[in-house]
Formats: sequence, C-alpha cells, structure tokens
Amino acid sequence: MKNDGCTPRACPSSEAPVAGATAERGAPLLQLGRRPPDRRAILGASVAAVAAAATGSGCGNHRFDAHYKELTDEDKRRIFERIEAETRARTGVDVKISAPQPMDGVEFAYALDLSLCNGNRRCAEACARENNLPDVPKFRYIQVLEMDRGTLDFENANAYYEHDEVPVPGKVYLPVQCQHCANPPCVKVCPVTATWREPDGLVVVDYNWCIGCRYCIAACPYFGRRFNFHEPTVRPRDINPDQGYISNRLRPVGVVEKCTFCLQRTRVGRYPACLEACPTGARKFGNLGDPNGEVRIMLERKRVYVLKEELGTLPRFYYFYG
Amino acid sequence: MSCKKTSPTWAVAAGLAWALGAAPGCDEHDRHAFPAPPASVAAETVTVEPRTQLLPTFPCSSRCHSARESQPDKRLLTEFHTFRNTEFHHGDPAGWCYQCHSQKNIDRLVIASGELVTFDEAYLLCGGCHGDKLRDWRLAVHGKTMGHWTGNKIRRSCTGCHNPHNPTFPHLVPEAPPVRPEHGERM
Amino acid sequence: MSVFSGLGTAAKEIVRGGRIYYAWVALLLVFISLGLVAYVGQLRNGLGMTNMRNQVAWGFYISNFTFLVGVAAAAVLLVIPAYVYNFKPIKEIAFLGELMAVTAIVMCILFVAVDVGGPANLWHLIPFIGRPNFPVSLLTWDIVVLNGYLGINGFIFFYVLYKVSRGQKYSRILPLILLSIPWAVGIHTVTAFLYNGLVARPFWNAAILAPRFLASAFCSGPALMILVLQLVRRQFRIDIDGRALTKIAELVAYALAFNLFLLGAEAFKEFYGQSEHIAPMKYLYLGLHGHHALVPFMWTALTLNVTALMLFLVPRFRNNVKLLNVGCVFILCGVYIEKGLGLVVPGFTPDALGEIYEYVPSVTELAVSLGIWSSGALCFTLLAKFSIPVFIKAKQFTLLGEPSE
Ligand code: SF4
Ligand code: SF4
Repeated sequence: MKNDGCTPRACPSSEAPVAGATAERGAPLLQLGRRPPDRRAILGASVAAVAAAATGSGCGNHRFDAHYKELTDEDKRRIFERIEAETRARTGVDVKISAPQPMDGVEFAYALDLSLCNGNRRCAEACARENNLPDVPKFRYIQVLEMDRGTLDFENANAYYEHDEVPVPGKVYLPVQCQHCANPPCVKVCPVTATWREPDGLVVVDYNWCIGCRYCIAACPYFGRRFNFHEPTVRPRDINPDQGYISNRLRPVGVVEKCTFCLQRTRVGRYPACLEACPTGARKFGNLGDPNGEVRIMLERKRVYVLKEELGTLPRFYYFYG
Repeated sequence: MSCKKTSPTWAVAAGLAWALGAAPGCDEHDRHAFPAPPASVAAETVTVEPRTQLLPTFPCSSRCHSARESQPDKRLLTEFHTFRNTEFHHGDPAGWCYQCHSQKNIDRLVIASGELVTFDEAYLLCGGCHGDKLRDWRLAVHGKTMGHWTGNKIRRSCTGCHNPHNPTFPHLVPEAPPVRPEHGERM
Repeated sequence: MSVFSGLGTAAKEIVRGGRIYYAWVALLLVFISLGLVAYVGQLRNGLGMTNMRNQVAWGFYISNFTFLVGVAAAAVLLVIPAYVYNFKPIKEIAFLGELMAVTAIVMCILFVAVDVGGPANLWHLIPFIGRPNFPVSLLTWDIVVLNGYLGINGFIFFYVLYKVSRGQKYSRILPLILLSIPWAVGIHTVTAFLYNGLVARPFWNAAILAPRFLASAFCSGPALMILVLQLVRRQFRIDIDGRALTKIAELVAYALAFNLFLLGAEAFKEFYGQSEHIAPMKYLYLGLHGHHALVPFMWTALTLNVTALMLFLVPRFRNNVKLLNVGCVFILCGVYIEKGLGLVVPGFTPDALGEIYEYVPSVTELAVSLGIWSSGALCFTLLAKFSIPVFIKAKQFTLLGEPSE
C-alpha cells in the first residue's frame, strides 16, 4: 500500500516525539485525489471531506475505511499493511496486525477469586503492556478497588492506593474491568455501531469507525471504557508488536477503547495477559461452552457474585469466593 | 437462546414495542444460556509445573545428607537450615522435618499413607490436610493455570505459590496506581 | 424569480443598520472568532483541552445542548395559543418563536459537533453511507428529531415569510404548524430519554426525568422569548401586545410551579429513602466527601427559581414589565444551571465505580461555547433583521401606538 504522501511530519498529530497511536492520520486533504478510489471513498468522500477540512486533521485515509464488519479479506490485508507501514515509519517498530476470528461454540467468560486477590496490580500493568496502553496519560483498563473489609461499597472505594506492601490489614480488593456483558448497555447506545458484541462474547470497538461521542462511556455501569482525550503515547520499546485490529493495536486520539479479554491472544487459544500476570492465581478464564472449562466448573461449585446484577447487564465476569 | 440473540429490549426502550410485536416471553434473558459445546471439545492435557529442577540444592541426598545422620527429634537447626527455625509457621508449632520429608529418602516427601512422592507431586502431600483445596486445585478453581485455555494447560503446584514452611501467601509491593485525572491540559 | 429578489432585499436589510446594530454584530463576530480559535486548538490537541475525563465523560457542551433543546421545544408555547386558540396577539409574533427554535437547534447541533472526538467521522451517521444505529441508539433518534424539527420550523418560517411578503395566505401549511407542536414535545422527550435510558446512571435513570425536562423547558424557553420580544419591540418600533407577554408569563408560572414540584418529589424520594442513589443529589446540594464545586450554583439556581415563581404567580408583579423581566432573567439563569451542568455532571459524579472527579469547564470549553452562543445570536439577529421588515410591510404588525384589534 502506498504511502499517501502522509509523512509523519505532515501530520500535526504526530508532531509529538513518540506519538504511539494515530498511526493512520497522515495525508493532507489535498492528496485525496491521488488515492486509489474505492467504494467507501467515493460514497463518503464528499461528506467526510467537508468534515475533514473543517477539522484540519484530514490526515490518513482511515477516514474512509469501511466498518470492520464490512471489510473483505482483501480490504483487511490492505488496511493492515498500511497500518503496519505507518507504524514502522513513525515508531520504528515492526508490528503485525491481525484479526483472529471467533471460534465456534465458544463464549468467553472470566472469573475472579475475591478471597485471593491481594491488590498488587500486576494484572493492570501486564494489561497495559499487552494492550499498548499509554503511560501518559496513565489510565488502565483494570481498576483495582481497595475497600474496607466488611463492605462492598464503591463510593468509599479507592483505586489510587499506594502502599509499601499489600494486602493492607482491614482492606479487601476488587479488580474491575470491562465485564463483557451479555446484554451490554454500551453497545445499544452507540449511534454508529462502532462497538458490538462478537459471537464469542467479546465486546469490541472499531477504532476507525468510532466518532468519539462517549455515549457508551455514559452507558457503561462498570467504568469499562476509556476515551483518548489526549494523544496516547507509548514508548517504542514498550510497543507490543502482536496487534489485533479490533483489540490492542495503537489507537488514535479521540476514540474509545476498552478491555477485549486480550482478543489477539484468547482467540488463538492463549490466556489473557492479566491472568498470566496474576501471582495469586485469583484469575480464571475459559469457554462457557465447554462443560469442563474452568469457569463452568467454578459456576457449578462456588458461590458467585456479579457486579450490579440488578441492572440486567448479564456480565460474563464472575466474582467468587474460593 | 434465540431470544437472547434477538432481544427486543431496545425496541421497548425506543417505544417501538408495539410496532414490533414485542415477542412475548423473550425479554427475559436466560442467565445460564451457555452456548452449545463445540463439536469437538479439545481433549484437555494438564501438566503440573515441575518443581524439582527449580530447587537450588537438589538432590539433597548427594549434596549434603549423605554425609550425615538423620535426627528424628525436634531440635534447633544449625548450619544450613538455621533460617527455618524462625521461618517455620505451618500447622503444629511442634512440627518437625520428618512430618513431611522422608527420613529414609531425603529427596522424597512422605504422604499420610506412608508412600513416598517426589517434590513435583507435593500437592499429594498438601492435600493430605487441605483436601478441599486439593479438590479445587484439581478442578482448576484454586491455583494458577497457564498455557492454553483450549486444552494444553499448565497448572502451578501448591509449592509454586506457597512456601510449604510458611504457606501464607507473601505480601507484595503493589504496582503504581493509575494517575488521577486532572483539570487543564496536563495529563 | 421573486425568491431571488427576496434574497436581494434580505441582503440589503442585513447590511443596513444603526451603530448599535453594527457594534452588536462586530462583537458577535469577535466572540465567534475566539470560539473558532479555541476549537482549532481542541482539534489539534484532542478533547484533553476540555476538562472532561473518563470519569466525567460529558460536560459543558452537552449541558448547553440540553438546555438549548429546551429552548427550541418551547417555541410551541407560542404556536399553541396562536394557532390552536387563535389568540391574535401571539399569532402576530409566533414566527419569532419559530425563528428562535431554528436558532436553538442550530446551536444544539453545533454543541454536539464540537463534543465528538472525531468530527471527520461524523459521516458514519448518515444512512446508507455510514451505519447509523437506528432505532436502537437514542442518539440517532435525537439526530432524526432535531433535524426534523429544524426542517419543519425552517420551512414554516421561510414559507410564511415568502407568503406574507407576497401578501398571500399561508393557511395551507397549518397542518405542518400543528405538527410542530407534538414534534417539539418529541425533541425534548427524546433528549430526556437519551439520559433516561442509561441504567448505569441512577441520577438520570428515573421516570421523572422526561416530565422535568418538559417543565423546565417550558420555563426557560418562554422566558427567553419574553426578553427577546421586548428587544424586538424596541429595535423595530413595532407593537407587540402586552397581553401576549403576560399570557406567556402566565404559562411560565405554571410550568415553573410544576418544575419545582417535580424537583421536590425527586428530593423527597432521595433524601427520605437514603439509598446509595442519593450520592449525586448530595453532591449537587450538600457536597460529597469534601467535593462541592456545584453546591453554590445549585442553591443559586433554586433561589432564583423560587423567587421567579413568586414574581410570576402574583398577577400584579407579572404585569409590571420591570419585575417580569427580572423574573425572566432569574428563570433563565436558574434553568440554565439546573438543566445544564446540574443535570449532566451529577450523572457522572460519583462515576460508575464511585470515583469523584470534580468537573468544571475549561477555558477552551468556555470559549468554544461562547462562540456557539454568539453564532446563535448572530443567526437570530440576521434572520430577524431581514424578516421583520417584511412582516411590517405586510401589515402583519400594527406599528407602535395604534390599537391592536
Ligand atoms: S462492562 Fe461496560 S463496556 Fe464492558 S460490556 Fe458491559 S457495559 Fe460494555
Ligand atoms: S464513543 Fe465511539 S464506540 Fe462509544 S458510543 Fe460513541 S461512537 Fe460508539
């Protein structure tokens, strides 16, 4: 795929020294005419051109990429190659973009043993590295809430605790991330279907399609989503080159992102990064369709607690006391 | 199941319930409507993470214990094992090495039945008292599982996480918290 | 042909004007440029230039949007007495209500546009080219009804103007005018449902929200109307029947009383029940865990609203133009706080996991909002400037001093 004259320098958003994301904002609008015409471009160009001109950030033809669900294999190959090339040009890192497909008969679910979690936050950090989360601004997909023993009260919880050692006597810990609801309120509200629930239960976002209205953030009862208010920056040496198109690839500013249960790992049979990093073994992951899977067995044998069950969101994230 | 996929709840919310006929009976999600198992559930192979090779002074017999007599009675340890005197916090404070280590073969553990097991099979020993935990561990509900959820699983043994002489899970230094959001252009 | 000549006349009308007019337009243009500069900064650096964060994902822009939907919806308050009850004094000025609706909707659309993170992706909302999530997402509903409302009122306004300028009757579009009444209720209800449907936010997820929206809209919109009508009366030296103003004021009084009643009902439920859902209410009126950025504003709003209610309930007060105007300003400020930041921010404070991030608008947000309000004012000024003379010429208005019936 050609570089549409989109040098990193031409793009205002990549002036930052190591802008980790926005691999795909590049070409000034003038270059539009030189783009190989495609379906989307013809339809959307006139409209988007106005918008892009208005924003002055008409860099990168991702403005005209189709929705993920409408991409043919050929489209995917082309777009992935383009993203790889742009990432290489800007960060010097060779990344590989992929889009592994859901497996038949698989619905993912997570389980977390609250009696084991000691609040060490290894999960949140491993997640950040796996999923290319920026360190500036430093947000995490997993909020580990510290609560007083004997309560389960969000309002008096603290996600920003700093201690020399955990667990602290008298405290309990509740890690919260996207619960991959089976009835996800965030998906309903999206005005452009930029977020949806995949057949295997993963709730994902198409970063090229999201308009950044943040309605989904308002709708999520679990603080499961993050918006890129700032240009996300990842140090090149921290970039995980194994990237999924709808999961951990570098995100542009102005879109919403979230935990995907490490789609790029779990769809090829691996465990999520947070699970592998957890030193206490509190985290369990598996296929609800497999009667012998870890999560099904846990559901059958343990008492389960689901966050805000009364909201009817049907989380696929179960807390239990082992 | 089909209800779950084509739930009309949104339609209700959008005031369209009547228009769409409201598919009676479908607005209840079945909380345990798990997908049908895959045509071939991959055969699961569980490997217990071996421990022996990680023990720095193994084999104990040839390294040191060949040169000394075993002492069946509790005493204050000297030389190599002195730190165990204060470290030991497990069950009966009067406990002694040979409750668990075999006096006959110091490279083995001895379980309740009198059988000897290797350090890789320590769970058989631990399970002698902590039967409930052993059961959960076998089911992968307790303990850490790695590898692939699709079938090839690696299970960490009891002693991979717990120090058998002082099994309370160690305290850890937590990773730094996320940064609180701030006003202004600062991030 | 006549359309073109009409445009020519309009252009001439817009350029002509006194010193105050020019100063006013120049001031607005300055504000608009300020807003543009701020907006370009926001585009280049991301929405981080605002004070919105993941914890409080919507702020000043959406607050203004919500308030303005109310203003737009309130245009019906002029249409109902004018066309349904044929109340002549208001019929004369009903087109100004339509004009205000148009302006308010334009501002609404601008406020939503500046709030999104990827304005260049907005084409994804367009049917066939994009993938609008209709009818599932209430936001798509809102886009449909707002644009529809803009279309209806814009069309009515220009059609009536055209017909009046040619001395013809415009009764043929009466059905459309009548349609705009339920449509106005619709835009406000849909906007309320936008918040109402979110189970994640107990402060919004209460059935009282939509009625409260309507009640407060029927306070603020007409209050603004009363003020604007007097300005128009002064500027164009036309007679606007005082009875029209007091009639509107009377409607405002009922709406205000109802709005306060609903607020009381809400407060009772929260404070008597003391469930955890009381937190946003506490944050608004008492402060929560040492955070009380909005407390002074909310009490100001409440005081203003109650005072205005007193002024409007007593006929002697509301027939006094000075007091009437004071009341209108009070209501505007009160509702602006209550249905703006006072509605949006507590939905997010505390957030879904109990965290409190205290939101106050940033300089960028204030500047961009000022720019948008100024564009709205400019739009209204220009449209009024060229349309009112047409109505005057067509003797739609009685000029100042003559009896009105
Ligand atoms: S936790 Fe939030 S983001 Fe995740 S699926 Fe549920 S509603 Fe959506
Ligand atoms: S922020 Fe993006 S994903 Fe979320 S609702 Fe808006 S368009 Fe959809």
